[in-house]
Amino acid sequence: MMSIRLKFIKGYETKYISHLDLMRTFQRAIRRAGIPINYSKGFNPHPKMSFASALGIGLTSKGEYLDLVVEDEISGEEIMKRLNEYLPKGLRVIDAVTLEDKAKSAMSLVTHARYYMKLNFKHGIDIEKSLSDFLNSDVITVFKEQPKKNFQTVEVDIKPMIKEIKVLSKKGKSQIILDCLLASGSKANLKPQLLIDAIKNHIGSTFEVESIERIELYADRKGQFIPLLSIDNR
Amino acid sequence: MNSSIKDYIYDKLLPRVEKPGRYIGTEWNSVHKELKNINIRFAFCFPDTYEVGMSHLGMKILYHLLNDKEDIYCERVFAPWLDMEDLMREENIKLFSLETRDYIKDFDFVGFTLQYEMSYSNIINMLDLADIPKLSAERGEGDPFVVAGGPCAYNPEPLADIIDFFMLGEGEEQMLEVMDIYRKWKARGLTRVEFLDMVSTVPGVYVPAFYDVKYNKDGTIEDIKPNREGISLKVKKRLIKDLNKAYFPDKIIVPFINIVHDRIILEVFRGCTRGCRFCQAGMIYRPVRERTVEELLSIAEKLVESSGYEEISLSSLSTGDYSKLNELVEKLMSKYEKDRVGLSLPSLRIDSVSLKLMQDVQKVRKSGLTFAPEAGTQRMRDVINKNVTEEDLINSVGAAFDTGYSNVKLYFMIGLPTETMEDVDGIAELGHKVLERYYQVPKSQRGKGVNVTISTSCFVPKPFTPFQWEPQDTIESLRDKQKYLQHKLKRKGLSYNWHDPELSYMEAVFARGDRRLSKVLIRAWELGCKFDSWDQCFKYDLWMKAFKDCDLDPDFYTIRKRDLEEIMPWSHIDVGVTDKYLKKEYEKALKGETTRDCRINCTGCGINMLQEGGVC
Repeated sequence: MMSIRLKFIKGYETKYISHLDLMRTFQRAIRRAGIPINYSKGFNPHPKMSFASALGIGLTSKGEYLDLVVEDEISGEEIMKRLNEYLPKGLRVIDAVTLEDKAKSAMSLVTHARYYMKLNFKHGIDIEKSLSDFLNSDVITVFKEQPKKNFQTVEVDIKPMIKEIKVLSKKGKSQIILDCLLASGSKANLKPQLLIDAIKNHIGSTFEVESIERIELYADRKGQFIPLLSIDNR
Repeated sequence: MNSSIKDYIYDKLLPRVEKPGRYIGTEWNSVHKELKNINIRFAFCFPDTYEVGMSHLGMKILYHLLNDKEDIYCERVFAPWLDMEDLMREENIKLFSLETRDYIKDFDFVGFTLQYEMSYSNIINMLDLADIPKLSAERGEGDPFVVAGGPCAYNPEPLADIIDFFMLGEGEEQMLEVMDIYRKWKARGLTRVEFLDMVSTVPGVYVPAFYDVKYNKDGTIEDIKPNREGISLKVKKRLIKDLNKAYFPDKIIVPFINIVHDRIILEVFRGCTRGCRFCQAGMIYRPVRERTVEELLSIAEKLVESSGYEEISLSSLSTGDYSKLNELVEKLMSKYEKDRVGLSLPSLRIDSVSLKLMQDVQKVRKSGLTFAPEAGTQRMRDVINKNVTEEDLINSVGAAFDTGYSNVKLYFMIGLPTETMEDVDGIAELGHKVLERYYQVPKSQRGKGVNVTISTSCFVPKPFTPFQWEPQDTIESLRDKQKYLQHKLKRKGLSYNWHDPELSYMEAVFARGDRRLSKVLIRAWELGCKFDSWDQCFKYDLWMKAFKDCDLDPDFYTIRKRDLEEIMPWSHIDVGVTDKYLKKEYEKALKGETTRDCRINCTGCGINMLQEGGVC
């Protein structure tokens, strides 16, 4: 038995697939590909696989992660090759590593996520200045819905969850891509939509979100942000 | 079509709907073709949501059957849910196919499958959303042909003004014959009516405009006659002689989102020999044709491999009657147990549930058990020819409880012909007896949390059954019976579900309706009726207003007893089972006489005379 970590793309065709549906989609692709996945014991066995982090509906990603436990000796390369033949359009495995025994799960490792947010502004804007004003506030509060508590709203300060926001590129006067490094994972988690709400609170609804793409998931190792696949997982 | 509209739908509309996964169209095994090589575009429309429509076996078969032809592109279309419809209307987006997101008004065919009567208003709504004229007579050159098939097409009359032609019976051969004719017609550049003329020569094709219906003063039918040369008096349904040689796809679409039946459906046979008198499926799908175990194993193997599904469901009208069921189940279990592919056996009859089978199936996955005694007293079961005794039921349920099941569902009907309160009371009594049987299992051996669910539906008389002449029970009477059962079934461990009698009333109108109902359908749609099979959408009052506006009395179709000599709206349709047989069965029913299973001995229903060289 061994564990494999896969890095995959969730692209345009699958951006509306929920996390639960994505899990089922992978399970079925794994069956089609004949990958010898290991099953849990018990009355209702399920394939041993876990995702690093759920991606919001409507977002694409170049950096999603999935851990699998397989029965036989099989290389990450081979799994990647076989799975890519059997995944639907919009999903593609781009890298794989074999994990050491007792490696921590991707889910427990992830602390941060990088997003590129493509925004279309209605008018020209000094984005650098607006951003630095925004980030220099003492607190950045925003109302958050709690789905598990009857959608009651609660006010949260998201400032501690914003690691970095910078302008990645500008196209003409109106299109700006922001590069955002945000807390992500079980300890603290900032959804990009909430950040958008906060920015809108600050500078007004002067823009529309064209698209949001997750770029990478990281583990924070003493201030170093290491992509999940590059981590020394011993 | 303008590709920016397609992108707009995908990028701007879908984020705003509750379940965007319904409209994606790139699921595994969905078919994507180069349009430049396509001669015929077919929009296969299911007039309900994606989750319901994608569960339907017929669509899976015909989708791949058509797409296996190089020059045909068949795409799927479902009724957009309310939120999507609102957005489409707001933004002036027309009904599009899932695969290419092209507007279906530009297709060659728009084909609806008619699985239940209460989906008819969605057909009107979908035509409207598609910007295709709703009435057949209003469609012109360049408009698609709007066609329909499926079980409800056997009484096509309520949709006669809307559908250009119907395809009656099993479509695996007929569909391709229609396509052949269309190719010829298209190459010759002929007119719309010339195509209808040509296609009407395909056996099983019914063009309603080629028939005139005359009515008597009392609203009954005086006669139905072809109004053109060369049109046959009766249209015979099509059937596949040998199911083992019939087309079956080696792949099926695997949806991203959860659908109602999210598994491989393995159709073990078609037809049913039991002869239950209330059951339309049991009459119209005759004769019984089984697939061999080898053929089924081969289909299962291809589908498991190509889909990655983790469950196979054996399907038919009465799976327990499959002659080699034990062998099939054993072979499927031994083949797939290690791969953790589960097996489910729906619609087993009470008398054919085998304990061993249940235990076998349980090895992989355990689910609740469903039984359908259909009626509460032996007298009533004899009337409907449900040849099952109380002893059978208690024995089977008991066997289930003994092996640890604690969750059992029992299905019944109320409002059956000749029913009295004694029969209704029998339902409650049976429920209690089943629960008692559970308590007879020693506490240490029985499953925990017993739940016996009793469900009653309201009987709807259907065409081509021995009860087609019978009135439906009134809404008031059905409601009284439901109240009685609610009262009688109040007990820990029992729960009672019932169906809305108003919905069954509407179903009864359209089941035995004539072509005057087309205008009621359109009027009801104008008033806002759609998704009638969804509780939250069904608006009985609007339907009643539609009837009033059209000056028709719905009671005429439901609670009126038909004379045995009355000409039925579907009397020009031939499903094989003869009028003579239905009348004989009706008489026996009223006398409480049963008819044996026709596997044992032919009961002379007439199906073997439907086509040359009989198939029974």
